[in-house]
Amino acid sequence: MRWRKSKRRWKRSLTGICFLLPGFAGTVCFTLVPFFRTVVRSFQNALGTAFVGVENYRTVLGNTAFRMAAGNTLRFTCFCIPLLIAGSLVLAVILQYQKQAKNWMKSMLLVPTAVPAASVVLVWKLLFHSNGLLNHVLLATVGTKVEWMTTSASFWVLVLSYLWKNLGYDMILWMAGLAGIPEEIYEAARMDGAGERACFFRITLPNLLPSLYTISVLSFLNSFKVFREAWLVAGDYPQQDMYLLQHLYNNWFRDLAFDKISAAAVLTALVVFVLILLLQWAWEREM
Amino acid sequence: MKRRNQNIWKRQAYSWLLMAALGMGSLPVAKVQADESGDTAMGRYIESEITLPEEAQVQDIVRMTDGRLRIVGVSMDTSEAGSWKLWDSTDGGETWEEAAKLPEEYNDGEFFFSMALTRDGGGAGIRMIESDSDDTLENWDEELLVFDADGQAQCFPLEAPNVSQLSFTDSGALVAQISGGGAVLLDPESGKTVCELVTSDAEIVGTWKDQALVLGTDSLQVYDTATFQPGESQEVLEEALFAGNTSYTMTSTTARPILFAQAEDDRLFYATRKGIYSYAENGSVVEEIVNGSLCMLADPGMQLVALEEADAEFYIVCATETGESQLVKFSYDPDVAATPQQELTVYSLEEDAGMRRLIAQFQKQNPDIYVNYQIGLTGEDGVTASDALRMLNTEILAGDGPDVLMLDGISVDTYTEKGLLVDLGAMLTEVQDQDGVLTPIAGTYQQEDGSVPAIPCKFYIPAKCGDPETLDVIDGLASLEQLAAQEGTFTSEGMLMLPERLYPLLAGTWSKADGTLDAEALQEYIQTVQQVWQTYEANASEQVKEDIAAWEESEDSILAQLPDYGAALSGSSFDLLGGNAKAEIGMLTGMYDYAELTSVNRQTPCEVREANLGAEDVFVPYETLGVLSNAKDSEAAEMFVRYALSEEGQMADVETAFPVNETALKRVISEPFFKDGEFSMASVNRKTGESITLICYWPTKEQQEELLAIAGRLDSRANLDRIPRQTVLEETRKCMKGEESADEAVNAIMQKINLYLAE
Repeated sequence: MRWRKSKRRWKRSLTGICFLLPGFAGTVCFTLVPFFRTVVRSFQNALGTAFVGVENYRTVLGNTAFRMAAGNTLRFTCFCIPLLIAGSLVLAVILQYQKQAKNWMKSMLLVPTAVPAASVVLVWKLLFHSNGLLNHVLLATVGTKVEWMTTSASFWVLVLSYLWKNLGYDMILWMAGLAGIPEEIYEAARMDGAGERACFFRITLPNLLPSLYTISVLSFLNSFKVFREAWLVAGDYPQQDMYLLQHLYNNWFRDLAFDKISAAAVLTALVVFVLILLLQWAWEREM
Repeated sequence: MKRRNQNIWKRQAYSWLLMAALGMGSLPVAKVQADESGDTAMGRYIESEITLPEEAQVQDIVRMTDGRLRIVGVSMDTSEAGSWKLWDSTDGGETWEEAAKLPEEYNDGEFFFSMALTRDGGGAGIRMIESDSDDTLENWDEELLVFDADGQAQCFPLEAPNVSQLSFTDSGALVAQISGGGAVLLDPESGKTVCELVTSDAEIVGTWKDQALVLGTDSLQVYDTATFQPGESQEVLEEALFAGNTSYTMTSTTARPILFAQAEDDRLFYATRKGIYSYAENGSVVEEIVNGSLCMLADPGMQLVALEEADAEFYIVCATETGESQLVKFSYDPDVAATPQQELTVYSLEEDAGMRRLIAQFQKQNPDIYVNYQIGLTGEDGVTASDALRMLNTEILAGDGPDVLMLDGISVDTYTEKGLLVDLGAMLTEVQDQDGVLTPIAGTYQQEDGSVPAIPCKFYIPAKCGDPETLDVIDGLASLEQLAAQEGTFTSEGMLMLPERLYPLLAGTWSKADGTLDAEALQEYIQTVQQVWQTYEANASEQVKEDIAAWEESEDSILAQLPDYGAALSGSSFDLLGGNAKAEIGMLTGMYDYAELTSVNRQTPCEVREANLGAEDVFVPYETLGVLSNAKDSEAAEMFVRYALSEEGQMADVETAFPVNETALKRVISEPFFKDGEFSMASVNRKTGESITLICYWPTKEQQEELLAIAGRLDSRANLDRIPRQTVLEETRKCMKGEESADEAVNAIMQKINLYLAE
């Protein structure tokens, strides 16, 4: 009898495994195998013909361009992720209470997600060029202009672009989380005399923790995509504050520095992995 | 229970099926490997060169009704130079006999073009005669010269304007193209226009049986020359002719982009750069007879003049870049593989005509090797140089890279550091022992360990030219500002492109030994350029200011097309001749440049000297070749590079740059491409509107020796690495326009270059 039950369970599992297998095979072939290959290449020379030990890691960690790019990427992430998460949450909460304008506001905020990078670049140039719209306005009002793309102000242009592009997407994810919170909890709380603020901090936020984990991870991964706009506007060597890790990888690829790319990629993956583990640990602790 | 089991089995069956479908969809597509065990297809047309009689410059060839081959051209033999003759061959072009000569009145330096022969041995041509017009550009009239098989000739005035591209039908009707893009039928007995077939969009005209073929921008029209009505449309032929957006435009009076011929069974043959093709009237297919990429048809230095077919062999008359005629015969050889068994891949970032010529010559010498010429920046897509290099690197890493790399615009150091380039030191020594090389130039990439990963096959020479007194004053950057204040010293183009012209000369002065930039030297360069430009602009006349405004409107496209070395010196010849400028700084890009400038010196004082504005004895390497260490066919690759450095290989393209092979360099300098006074160029003085004529002479012995001496002194390679060059020029130009100060420009450059170097 027990044997029959486990056999049945195994048969049910087999069906699920069969559905998962093609996707898993794809992930193995196109993600895991190349990643392990990259780890192996990080201990070899550029052409993969000789073993060099940890020399590549030493070179990368001592490389000023890598340190600058990593610093910029970290700085960008530390600024943008909290801003994006908080901003999109605020928007989601506001929209949740909207009755009339909810749908069109949602659409308006989602439009930037659909705009192609090349179009965003055109807007950048229009707005942020030395003789662009923004400087015209500044000259007319304040009497001075800012070199947006050739000074450290370029970093804030990058931040603004990232926030503008991803606010709508994260807001939708928050709204999905908000919709999953049962209304009865709020009713019960209000009956006990809880105000809106108390409801938000004691009910809404704790129930949004699962969404926070997903949104944080997705926002972090999306932060790497801002390279597209930066590269299209400023090319291989932008202003130093805009110089991100992807610029470096792009340029190393052009220069056949596959050894350095592999080592840097492994280091980056390690950092991302640790961050996500920390996030997961913090979330599980809260739960 | 039974039904439940059946349901479970059904579900499992469906899930297995779905999984199988998904799994097959996610499998990568496997490449079908060619069956290498099968027999190789044999048989291909092989080319051979036929010696022309009396070194004639030939304009047409025809298969006569009795089977003889006949050519018409002008003899270049010293005893009878300038005589227009007809020669016949009865043995397939191996030997030629003079059949007839045009009357003496037409043999005194007359110029005929667009000669066309008929199957009975007669023909026609366009004769240029001087008119009474005062305008230099329009002082020639045209007449129709008609001759019979015995050379008896007469001339008729032409009604139609600017007639060219004469061609006879089988029945003797004469088709021609006229100015404005029209096509007409001419009466060969009077020169009068019989009928206007089309009034426009006739780029190329030819004949087939009794029909006129008119090729427009993207269409083929067929006309019956007996009825003057449109003939049956040949859609298959039209589609084949214009496949891949091919266009046909005449680039000279004799050379054509497409040639027509007719077989004895009335099939049409046509030849283009892509090959020789055959088509039967109303046929469903156009057949490729000869693959152009495997023969001289791919050589851009050979201009196509005439085509004929006889006994299943093809004859193509071509003109070389020095104006000589060649007759190439294509004969079928059943013992040669249909496609060469060995394939060699040569890669260059940008298309290079000189490389194409070299490849064509190499293939001619090695018919069993097919050279696949790959270009990174084709211009047809939005690929940038960086993208092209990434794609190249991906292919190299995958083991699918080229065998030979042309490293112009590519960092030699990058590939050398990775051990990707084979040591060519032994090959260089071989060439040095055989012909001699300019070692400082050819060995410029020699490493500390003595290996030579790359060799420049040619080079350019930075120079200045102009009035000797003005040249004496140009002895440094500061002197340019003083001269820029004097109107008429420099041309507006020269000043507008000053950063690009000066860059090759000065790039070495701001590079330190450790590879970093000397900010002070860079600042001096940028400030000087800015001051020179501002001084020039401030002192410019209204006309010059208009020129500057016009130039600035197209600035981006002009600069995008500018080569890395800046600008050729000879571009300013007419400004120097017309008194619009007294000096120019630029690049000597070959003997034509030098000959043009020394020709100017015969009419107005114009010397050519080394530039020496910052660094001394600078040269710009060109056609730098390297062999990849993971080349699929390293033997063929080294053979190719060896050929490129040999005297024969270096003489394949004499027009562009100077050879590093000493023997070839001496020949290129001393062997004239043209006879003194043989040709001239005309233009209009931009200031006065008067016409200017420059009669071209080959440099004198003293001038040749001077040039050789300059070449022998060069030992400092100009650093034209793409990233630093682009960055410096971009910021310098912004500074020139006043968009930023010199300090800001230097800071921006230092930031970017330091980042580039830090990587």
